[in-house]
Amino acid sequence: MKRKVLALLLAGAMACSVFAGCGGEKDSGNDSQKVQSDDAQKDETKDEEGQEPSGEETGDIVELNFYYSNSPVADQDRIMDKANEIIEKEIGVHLNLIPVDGAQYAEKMNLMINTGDDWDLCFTAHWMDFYNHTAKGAYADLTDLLPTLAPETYSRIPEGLWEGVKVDGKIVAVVNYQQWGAAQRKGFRVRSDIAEEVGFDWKQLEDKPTLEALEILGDFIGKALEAHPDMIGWETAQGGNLFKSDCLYWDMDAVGDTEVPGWIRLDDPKTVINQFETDEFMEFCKIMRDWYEKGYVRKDGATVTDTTPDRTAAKFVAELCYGWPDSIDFPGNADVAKMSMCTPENAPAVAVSTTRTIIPAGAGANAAVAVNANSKNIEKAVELIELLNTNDELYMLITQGEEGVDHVYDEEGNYSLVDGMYNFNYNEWQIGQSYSPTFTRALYNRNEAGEMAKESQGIVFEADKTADVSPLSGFVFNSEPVKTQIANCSAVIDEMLPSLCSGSIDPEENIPQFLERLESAGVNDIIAEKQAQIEAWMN
Amino acid sequence: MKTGKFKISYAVIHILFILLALACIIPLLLVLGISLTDEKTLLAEGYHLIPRQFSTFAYKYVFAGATSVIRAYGVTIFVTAVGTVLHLLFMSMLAYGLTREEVTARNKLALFVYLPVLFNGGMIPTYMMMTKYLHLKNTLTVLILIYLASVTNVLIMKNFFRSIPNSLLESARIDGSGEIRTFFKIVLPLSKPSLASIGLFVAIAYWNDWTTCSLYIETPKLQTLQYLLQSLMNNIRYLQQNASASRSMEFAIAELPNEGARMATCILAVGPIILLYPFLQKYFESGLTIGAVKE
Repeated sequence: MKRKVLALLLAGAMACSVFAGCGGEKDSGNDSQKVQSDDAQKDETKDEEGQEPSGEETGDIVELNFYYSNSPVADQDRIMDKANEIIEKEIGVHLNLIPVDGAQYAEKMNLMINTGDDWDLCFTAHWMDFYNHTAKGAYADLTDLLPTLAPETYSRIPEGLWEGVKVDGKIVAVVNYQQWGAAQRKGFRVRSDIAEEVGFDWKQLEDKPTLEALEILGDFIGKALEAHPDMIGWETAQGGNLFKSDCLYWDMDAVGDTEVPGWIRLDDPKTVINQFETDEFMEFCKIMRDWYEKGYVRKDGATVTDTTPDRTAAKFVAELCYGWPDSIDFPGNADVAKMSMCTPENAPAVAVSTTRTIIPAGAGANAAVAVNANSKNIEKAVELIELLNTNDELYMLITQGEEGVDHVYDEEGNYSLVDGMYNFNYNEWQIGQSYSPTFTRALYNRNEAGEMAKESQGIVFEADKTADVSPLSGFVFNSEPVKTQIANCSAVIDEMLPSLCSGSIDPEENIPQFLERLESAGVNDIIAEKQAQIEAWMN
Repeated sequence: MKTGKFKISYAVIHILFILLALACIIPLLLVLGISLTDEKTLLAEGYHLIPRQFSTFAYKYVFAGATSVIRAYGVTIFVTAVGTVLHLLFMSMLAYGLTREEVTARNKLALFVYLPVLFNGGMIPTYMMMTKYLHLKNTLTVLILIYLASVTNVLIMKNFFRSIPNSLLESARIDGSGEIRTFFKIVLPLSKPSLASIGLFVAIAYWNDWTTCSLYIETPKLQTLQYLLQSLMNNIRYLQQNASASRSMEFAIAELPNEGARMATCILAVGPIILLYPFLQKYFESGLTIGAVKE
């Protein structure tokens, strides 16, 4: 009896390896052909994919692998079959869109690039090893190809953004210009129902410097908490604060990573400063200390890592707002009319922009598509990028599925995604531009609200053409010479910054100590290095 | 008086073990309770063993692409079953060979087994080997192959086989049993306790493995359960953290069953594998009586 079981299992295992063998053989056949033609035959080698069941008489379909980061997508085969019908007809390419889990994406791409694995296109971003991979020469130089093979993609994108994906003057990735534009304008958001209740004039915040705005908000939070003692005035958390990543609120920009000391003032881009030595930092910490003592913020703010529960429970009275146009410039912008992670019903809000409008240095490489420098179908890959960016039907099919099946419109014209059907998990920004001058590349409600959304996005598009471009656009900080100092400083910052910015320790006493420790960790070397690199770059 | 004392110590031991057992079982029940609680209630009232507001939404969310979860179960069960059996088969054969005196080169052979512990290829060469030379990307085989050999298990089994008296094997040979028959009919049945405990570890390793899947598997059909559940949770976390990267996400976030889904995936992930323990328990007990065979 036992022998039979064992035999059965063994048979199963063998069967499995037989099937695997089949798959492997197919692959190997493929690969050997690829190796043969790999030797920089950049001109179109069309006949290596003979076995692809394309249904086309021409039989010269090129297969392209496009890696991007996404969770498993249900029903992907159905949509990709339809999409490939279009792609094969238009440019003779069969697209394999391969999702890799977000937690593994960076590592997987690293592996594939280092091992010379077979990929043609991939999603990339400055927060996902973009500079690292360009330094290795992994991405193909597209400077000459783009204007000829992807003219529309190239011309649609504001020129300032191309600077962000240039390395040594060469374009190495295609910007995924998005429906919400690139220009940033930040501000604050307050609960509109509570503002009305306590008689707070939120419009007075407009264009106020951040410190002044915080003072005004402080009064409001005090009154709001009297009326609603179970709420929290302001979000404090270990991971985020106004001096960690929000340079724009201080009219500054970061040289390299935002968390490392060494920012510049936008008005004086030639001088690198230590942002923690500024008066603004001292004043900000004093305000947070004051709020902490008055009970406006959580007492454990310095150690809280996840504020999602507080957000979804609509506990905050006021918060930062990255979205714009604000509720003064454009009263109908539904994007900013509710608190973060809430609904307009449980937490209605109004937003006021306070900062200048700017295209940040990293905006171009915020989301982009790169082509493998070793791909033998670079031209086809660029054609595919152009097709994805200009064929609205195709892009909508891949990113939103089919209308009536995967997403539906109700009688009022509001769209919704159907549960359990094809769902791209809102990752459309990875595979191409969701920007469209005629608003045909995203789902909009087919009613007044939808029209409002289009109008508010139109304002941002306009601003993208006129906004200030960060003086640091195109500059890449090489952190190698001061690696140790950065690591040491980061350790000090990680230890003390959350406590200072959440008000748990007294700034008068601790900031001097903080600065002293930073100095012995080598902060001056970092600033000097940044200064030297900026000067070299500017000349 | 004496019996009274005895009873007190008895009671203490019992209470201690009852508490220990509760410490093991309550978290599991709590996880189950949370997974069946409405998300809003969770945020408002915290965790409770018995759901205040019963909801199966978290499970519905996880099963939204139902076919993929069920298929992933199939893949995982197949890989675990086949992988464990093959692992035990190959490792016991290797370990047995290395203990037999008839294998004169066994010490030199053993070097090949132990050397990779100190000097192994690392990730990039492994990846190249698997994809470029063995062409195992996107196959079921890679999921099984990657855990097929384990030096530690060879060592454990080798030590175990040494405890089997040589005279037993010799008498088998005198009675006309060939090497293969001896191995399958005498050695393996005697080794059940060690096979069971190693088998359990291996099965759990196969069951919980998701990195292999994330590196080598690209077609949804071959995704394992753990990978699927893991990326489901990642997806929720990612949607919540990168709201600024894509503003269209903001709309979806308020609806996501974060805590509930996390616990529901826990329950689904431990599900079948937990049944292995009672099944293998008797072998653990018999492991204690290993010395019964006398030389």
